[in-house]
Amino acid sequence: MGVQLRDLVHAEEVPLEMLRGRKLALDAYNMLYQFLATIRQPGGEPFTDAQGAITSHLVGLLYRTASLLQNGVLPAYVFDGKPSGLKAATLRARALAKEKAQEKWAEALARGDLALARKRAAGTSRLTPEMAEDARTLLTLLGVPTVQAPSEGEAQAAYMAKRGDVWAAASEDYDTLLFGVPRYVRGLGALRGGGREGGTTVRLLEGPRTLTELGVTQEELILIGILIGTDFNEGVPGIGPKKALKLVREHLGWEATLKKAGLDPEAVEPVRALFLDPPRTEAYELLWRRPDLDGLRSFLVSRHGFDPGRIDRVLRRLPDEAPRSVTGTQMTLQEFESSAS
Amino acid sequence: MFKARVKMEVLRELVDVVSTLVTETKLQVSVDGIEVKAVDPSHVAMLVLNLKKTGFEEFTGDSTEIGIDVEKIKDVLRLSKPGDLLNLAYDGGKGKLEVSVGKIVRHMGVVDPAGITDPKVPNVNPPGKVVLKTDELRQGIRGSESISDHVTLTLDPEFFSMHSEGENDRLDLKIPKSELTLLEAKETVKSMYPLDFFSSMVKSISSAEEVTIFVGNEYPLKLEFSFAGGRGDARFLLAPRVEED
Repeated sequence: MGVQLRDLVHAEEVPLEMLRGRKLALDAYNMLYQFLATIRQPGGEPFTDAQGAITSHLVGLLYRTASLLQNGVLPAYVFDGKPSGLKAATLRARALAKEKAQEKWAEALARGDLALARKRAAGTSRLTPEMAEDARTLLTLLGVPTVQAPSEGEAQAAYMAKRGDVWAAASEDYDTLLFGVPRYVRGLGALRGGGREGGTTVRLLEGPRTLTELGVTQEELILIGILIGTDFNEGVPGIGPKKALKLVREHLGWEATLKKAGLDPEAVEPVRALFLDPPRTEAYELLWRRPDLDGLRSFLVSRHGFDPGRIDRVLRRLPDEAPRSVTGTQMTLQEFESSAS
Repeated sequence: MFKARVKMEVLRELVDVVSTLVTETKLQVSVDGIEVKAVDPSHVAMLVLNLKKTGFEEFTGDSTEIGIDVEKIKDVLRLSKPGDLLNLAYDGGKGKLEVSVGKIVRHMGVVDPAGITDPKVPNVNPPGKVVLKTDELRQGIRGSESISDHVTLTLDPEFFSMHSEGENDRLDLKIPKSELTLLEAKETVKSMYPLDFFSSMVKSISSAEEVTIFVGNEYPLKLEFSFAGGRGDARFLLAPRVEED
């Protein structure tokens, strides 16, 4: 979900290798929902253990994190806290969509259309507090830090990148840009399992560069978001990314732009305030440790009934030592291509 | 078309140098010799290498591109011993590179050159220049490896230094101007570089007694050396690490 900025912003495709030794703040819920939507059985049922507890998200999280660690990346997962009151409408709409998807899933199953059933099932994903707790436990056993955001995970991840505690935030959600992130990685969720092949790439966006390319300020970018619609406000019907950009580029100012688009500036003021000054915390510790292999086997195999052979194959891929961060930021030669002689 | 006879040591150094960055590369053959341009997948380091036709014992070539799997050449090199001569032949038609040493002939499948990146070599000219003994540099690198994953090179009007720092330990190599073959630095310049790349670059040099290093402030490093008795030359570029605060 999130604001639809894809058509406007340019993401540079970079090799995953570029993230080696880098600390990243990952939007945990964003990623877990992706796993819940995609890791399902042929008829759309999520994977569960013998007690009926859903494990699809754990499968995804284990393979993805192992892959990142194997590639020398230092991931920190940021978990959502209490959602902003502004999100209530979005959450209601999502709940409704899930109910509809649930009905359609049942219909498709009744008709025996497994492909459609699987597709519909993807829209029914729910992440319970117990499931999130399991994800945290798994990450801790993997030696990876977790961070509890007071509210929005993306806002917290963006803040950590702004402070320089991590090199970049990682999410599939463009809202991250509206929270003023200096550097932002997309596509970590789409990495394939193996991870080590040289062709693997992710997409990198730089906040300041995005603003320069669009010819807008951070506040104007938020304005574009508000016009299109974010998780925290409904956009203006008929205004898509391109129209919004055109309108904002008239540089009429905050109020005049909103009024021209038919929005009440006072009504969307809390949205602006949320993007500029979101709830965030400095109470986190980013420490990477050696994976606890016995603990992982006990949690995944004994408690959740994963196949011991498969788990061992993943555990063998994990590095023996805690990942090391690099000092400074590694530049690439491409950044000097235009340098004068 | 390409047909050549080359000393084992020359081919081995060429392959060692190239394999610090890539596993597959394009040999650019011309009437004058061969050229290799390679960039590592993360675009942190680059190589431009030339070996003149006189660096070969025999050489016939015209404009040809050959995609090489570096590991396969290494396989053949393992079958040879110092002083051996290797024969290389490629006519393009069969898509095979023929490499022979002694009585062994290996027909090597080549890689489609279209699939190999043709790096755009940035025009970097760092202001400081130093020429020093390869052995001294190698020693400094060996010392740094157990301490850190990065190294800072400084060129001062009076000295060259290499510094690395880990959590508890640090290492300095400082050579005064009087003990350097050449030092040109109008002012102090320094940059930090990833040690893994820098180390494998320097370790791949086997015949050159001296290397030339160009350094600037937070700027790519240029490392130049010759091989094959001065008939081959290589230039590495390495992007810096920049401290953020």
